[in-house]
Amino acid sequence: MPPKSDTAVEDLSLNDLQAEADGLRTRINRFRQSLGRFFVQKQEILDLMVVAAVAQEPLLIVGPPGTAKSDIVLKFKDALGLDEGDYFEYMLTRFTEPSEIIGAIDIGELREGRYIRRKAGKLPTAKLVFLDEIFKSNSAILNILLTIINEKKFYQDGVPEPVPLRVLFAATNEIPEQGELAALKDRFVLKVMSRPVQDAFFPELIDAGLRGEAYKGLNQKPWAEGHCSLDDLMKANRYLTYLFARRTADAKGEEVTDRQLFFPDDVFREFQRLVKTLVREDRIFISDRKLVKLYKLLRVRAWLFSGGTVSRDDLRLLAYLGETHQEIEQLREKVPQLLGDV
Amino acid sequence: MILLFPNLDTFRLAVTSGTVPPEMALSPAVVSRDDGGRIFVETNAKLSKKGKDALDRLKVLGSKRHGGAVEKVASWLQVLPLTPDAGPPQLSTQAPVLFELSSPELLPGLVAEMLRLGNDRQSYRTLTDGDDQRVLLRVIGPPYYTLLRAIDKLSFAGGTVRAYTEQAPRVWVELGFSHPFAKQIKFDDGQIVLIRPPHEWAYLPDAGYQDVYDVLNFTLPNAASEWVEAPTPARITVPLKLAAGNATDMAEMWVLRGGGIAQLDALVRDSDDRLTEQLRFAVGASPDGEEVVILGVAPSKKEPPVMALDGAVAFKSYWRIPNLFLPVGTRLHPTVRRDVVTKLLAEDRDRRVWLFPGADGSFVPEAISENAFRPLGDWVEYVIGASATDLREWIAATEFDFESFICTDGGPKPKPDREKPEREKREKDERETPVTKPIATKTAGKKSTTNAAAAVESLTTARPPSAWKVRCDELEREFRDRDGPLDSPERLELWPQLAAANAAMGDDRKGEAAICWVNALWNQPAAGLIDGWADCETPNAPRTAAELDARLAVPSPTPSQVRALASLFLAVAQGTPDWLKPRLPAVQKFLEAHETKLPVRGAWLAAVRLAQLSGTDVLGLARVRDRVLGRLLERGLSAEQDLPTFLRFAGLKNSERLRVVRERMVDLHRAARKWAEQSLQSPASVPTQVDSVCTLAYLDLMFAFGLAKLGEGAAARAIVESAQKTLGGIKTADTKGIVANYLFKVFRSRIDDALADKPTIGPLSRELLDELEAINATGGKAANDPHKLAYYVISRMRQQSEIVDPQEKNDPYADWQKQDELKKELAELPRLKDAATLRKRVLELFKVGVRGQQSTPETRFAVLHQALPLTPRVGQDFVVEMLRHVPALFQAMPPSSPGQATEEQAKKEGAILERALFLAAHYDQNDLVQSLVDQFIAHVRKKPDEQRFVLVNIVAGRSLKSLRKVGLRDEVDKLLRRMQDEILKGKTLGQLKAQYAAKGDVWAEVLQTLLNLAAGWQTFGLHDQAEPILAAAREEILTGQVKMGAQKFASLGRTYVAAVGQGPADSGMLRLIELFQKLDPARITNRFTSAPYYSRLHLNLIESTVLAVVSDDFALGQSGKQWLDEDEQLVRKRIHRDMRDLVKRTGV
Repeated sequence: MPPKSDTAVEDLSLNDLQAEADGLRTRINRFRQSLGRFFVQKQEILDLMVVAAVAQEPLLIVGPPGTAKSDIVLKFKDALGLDEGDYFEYMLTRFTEPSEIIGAIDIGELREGRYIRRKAGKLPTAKLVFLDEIFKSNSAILNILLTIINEKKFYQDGVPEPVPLRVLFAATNEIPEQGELAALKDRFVLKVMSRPVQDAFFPELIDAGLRGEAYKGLNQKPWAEGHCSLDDLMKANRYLTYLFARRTADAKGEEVTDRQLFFPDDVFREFQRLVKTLVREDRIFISDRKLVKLYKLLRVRAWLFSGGTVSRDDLRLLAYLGETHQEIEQLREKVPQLLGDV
Repeated sequence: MILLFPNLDTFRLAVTSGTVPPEMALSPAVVSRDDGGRIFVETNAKLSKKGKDALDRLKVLGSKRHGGAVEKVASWLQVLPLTPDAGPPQLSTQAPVLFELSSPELLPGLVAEMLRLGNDRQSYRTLTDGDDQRVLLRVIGPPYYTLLRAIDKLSFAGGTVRAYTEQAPRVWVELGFSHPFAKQIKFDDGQIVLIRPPHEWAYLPDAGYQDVYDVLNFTLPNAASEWVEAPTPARITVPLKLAAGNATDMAEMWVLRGGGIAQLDALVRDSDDRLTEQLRFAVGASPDGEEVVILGVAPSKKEPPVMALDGAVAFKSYWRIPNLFLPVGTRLHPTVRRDVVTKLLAEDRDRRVWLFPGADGSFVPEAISENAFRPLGDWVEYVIGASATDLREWIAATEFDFESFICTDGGPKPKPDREKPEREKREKDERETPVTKPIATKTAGKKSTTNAAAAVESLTTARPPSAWKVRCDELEREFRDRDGPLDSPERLELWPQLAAANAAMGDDRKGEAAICWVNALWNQPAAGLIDGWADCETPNAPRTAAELDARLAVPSPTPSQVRALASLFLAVAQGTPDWLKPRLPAVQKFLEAHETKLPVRGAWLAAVRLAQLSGTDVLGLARVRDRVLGRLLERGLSAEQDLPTFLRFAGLKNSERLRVVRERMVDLHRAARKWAEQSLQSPASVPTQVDSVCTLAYLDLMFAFGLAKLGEGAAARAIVESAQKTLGGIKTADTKGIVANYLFKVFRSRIDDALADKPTIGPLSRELLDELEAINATGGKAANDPHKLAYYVISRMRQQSEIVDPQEKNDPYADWQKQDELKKELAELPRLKDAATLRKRVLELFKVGVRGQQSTPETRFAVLHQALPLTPRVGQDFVVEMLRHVPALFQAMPPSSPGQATEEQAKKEGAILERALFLAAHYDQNDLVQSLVDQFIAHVRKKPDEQRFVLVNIVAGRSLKSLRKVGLRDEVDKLLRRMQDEILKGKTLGQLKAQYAAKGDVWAEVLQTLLNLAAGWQTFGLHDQAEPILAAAREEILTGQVKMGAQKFASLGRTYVAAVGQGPADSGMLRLIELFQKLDPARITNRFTSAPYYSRLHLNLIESTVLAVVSDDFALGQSGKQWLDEDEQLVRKRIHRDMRDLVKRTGV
């Protein structure tokens, strides 16, 4: 793991980061590929987790019980070498109370007339959060989560406080259709399915499963190899944010945006065509907000996987836009078809 | 002549306004444009003076020369540029699109892309112009992605691809543009024109296209390898064995070896005759000469009896193969397909095969011809038949009353006479008050006397049973073949003969004979007939006080004993002996307690006679009338109790129809369950909290109810046991457990009633209602208490389910609406047990309203909506009193504007009208029926379209059935016609779909209305007329693209199955099975507050299906149901007539 710099990520300039960008990219990719060794056929999910983490967009992992949804997030956290205080995970139920997520009311403060929550060790202090069975939560929790995801804020005694949350992963068995959950659902641009692998990879599953059990029994975490840290992910995010905002001049002296620079015309037109086709033929709902975030995610993937320019291969991310099980399965086939893979 | 147009807009105006004559506009011209946008058009056509003037007014001038490069055009329209479309292209999946490829090299890539995206409807042609080669690729419904690529012309490397759509025949305009006059363009046949923007026209010869498969060359990943057939290995021998199976199987056959006959003899001597009636037997000899007795259960809806036979091996039919039996508690191992087992072991259907077990699972297949089996009852009769002649003579000899000792010599060993002391006492009484049995009274008419005499005489005519059977068959055929209604004189005269013929065939036809006797008496209460019935029911019983007393003293009589008492009473009452009068109260009490065991006619005849004897007891008879009408209201006439078998299964050999329905019911259950499982698991269908386990258990119980109604007792009980394990395993501390526990009890009670052939459409039993109230009381006032919530969930099920509670549809939200005083009061009404209190409270609320508020039309409407279904609890007078308010109330209701009249309101109005129509018809208020029908039609007219269909669907769905049931077939016919006129307004199915398909929910209502019409037509046998509607509904349900809400879709499904249920059973069952096999599991969803406990819409559809299958129409067939309806109508008419006569005679 690289030594921790004394400068906070937020204070680093583009020049600082530019010098470090290649190293960051290499470390993150090594982290991504290395962690994949500890799972059977979960590289696709890990790749998306890394992309989502760098883009600082929440990711929803969907799948039946026992398909390593929680395990993959736990190992991801371990591999980043995260302090326990920076990580928060919780399994939500209909009966989960807000105090379980954002901390109980401080009685001492309350006596003083202040409505303050004891947030230590809870979601408002964590940088990486994992919420299991997120759609089982009740409306009180939903409202709190929406505010935190949208505004990265948390209210103490009516006063907003910023939260350090950078990476949010959530898992669910089912994707409900209730209207009240639509807002939360829309915040998850990408939804990836964690599928059982026993049919195609029976021996591999048994071997990897046994290894995992043994590590657990011996309290070993060989996946915590220290390839990269959460700071690296945050730096990568900072770097790319600088790039998105940057305006450069081309040979003729005309201003060129990030899109013009890194999104070739033909790929951009293909992107448009694919989105229109999915909306029209497959009735996939893609909100304007989602489209913008999708652009960001495509750029992150391109930077991470190929160093910069968005290629047709990066458009594969469109396969993760499905809102329901049916749509997820449909897009899994349709997007590669449109891209000419099959 | 060169015309100079100052700009394009002027040119367009001149062409479109007709200033330039159309023939000129469509003629060839030479065109040029100058830099200022002016257009020069040179034409050879002549322009009239008037035309020139008109062009002058538009500032169109003449010119001597062109303004720029000239271009020849085939018509002036070519000058007009294409206009870009506002939105993205919208093409149907069947629209042809022409792709113009600038180079043939682009063809493989484009074709492959579309094949990859699932489109192979492609054809092409290649065109050459010198060195320039182009390809036209014609594609039906191309992928949207490819269209977008064609619009974005840069996306094809190595050339351009343009897409064209056909905007008029042979006029292809580039995609994304339109030509304003595409339809007016005229050009030679045999040509097509491609129009590109801005106004580039290309005329091409019209020729055929070649299928793209002609040029496709599919490459295989590897070279094909040719396999050579090898010799088939020798057949594999697998020994079949008996392995341990289900130990709880019930035996259906027993094989007795060594002393089998003796055991059979002992069995017959010691057994109840009801047991022997259930059994068939055969005697065979094994190859080594051993005598073997095979005892089997006769096909019946009863459960097989439990038999304890020494040394007998018990067998059970295997996989429902009718002629293959395995030892109880075993199965075949390994498991082999049913058809293979049949072929291997039981191919010959005429031979019954059983696998006699040996050591280590081995077995020997043994077989005997099915013809060797005969009813055990017949065999017993054969032994006794030696003295049959003597017995008949003795029956006819009225003067011998003391012959009991004569039969003790010879004949079979008598059974101990337990009734001897009582009989001796009766004989003593009888000697004191002798009554001579009358044969025919003088009061009977000539014809009646003849029929009566013939009937009685026929009893004494000695004929072999087979001769009676032949005679009976003849009479039945004659009855069916005669034209006219059920009460036509030609048919009526056959009842006594049918009764006599059935009576002469022996005890097992007594029930059948009784139905015929009461039918005969119904129309001509002649003395001879009364005696005939009494003799049939109570052969050789003396008509004495002692005999009557003895029969009155039986504590829980069987239907046969009740019939015997009624017939004896009617026979005795002819002479009105003095001892009868003091016994009338006892007779009345007995009949009152057990009248449900009598045919309805028998009960009424006895009641009328009782009323006459007790001095025209109008009140007493009115009570009987209320009870009998209540019975008809609750269950109608019973096919088993009131309709003779030959009418019940008219048109079918034996119970073929029932058999078809029963067999397919199991398949239907399987299909429905599979669909429900998938649907409940489908993420697109049901949110996670739906309890699929409970829903599936309730589904099973609904099918168990259906099976019970069809007489499949064993299957129904097996399902109930399984459901008990599922539902009983839920903790009763939480809401789910309370609901599951209670609903299971309700279902079980309904299923038990169905198995016992009791009415299943009455209110819940007192115990169950009390238990429900206790649940509510435990819940108290806390809204989130598990008991309170459970009460709501159960009430919701009561409101939804016709099986759980077909009668009372209370508002489940009533307890949550306490703030409204009226609603609170209305919610209490169903809980009022006492009829008088209920009447008082309803009248108070109706007339005065709730405390502190005035009674308004809205209040009265709400009261009527809640109270009308409860009025039969009080009696006919109260029902009629409340019904009289309905027309006035509907007139008094303020007219609602379309915005105000909600669908909910329409539903309530429909519910009131429906119930009112049914009750008016049931209680013989024909004038009210007429006025309600008129009111309904008038009310429908006032409604906006959407609510019109809702109203019709609520009223028509049930009213058509109930009007038909009470005999108002003409009214049904009228209602159907008027509905057809008012609702459909002469439109065809296609026109209706075109009008409403855009609004999915309205289209669902329209289809339901059509299905209700189709159901009505089916009841009149007009299946051909109904078929297109059923087909359209089927298509919409199974493959329809119209989007509609899940609730509307479920309603459509329910109406569809109900309409199918009115048609023929064989094709109907297949349709129902198909529905569940092909129905998209995601179409039915569940988003209701009861979702965590059961999925309402799933259960709704399942219940409608089950009820459609067990409906009389389906199980009995059209003709059987029609007999029953006609019969019920006659009974009802007669009851009302008798009542009116008695009231008139007594002046009460």
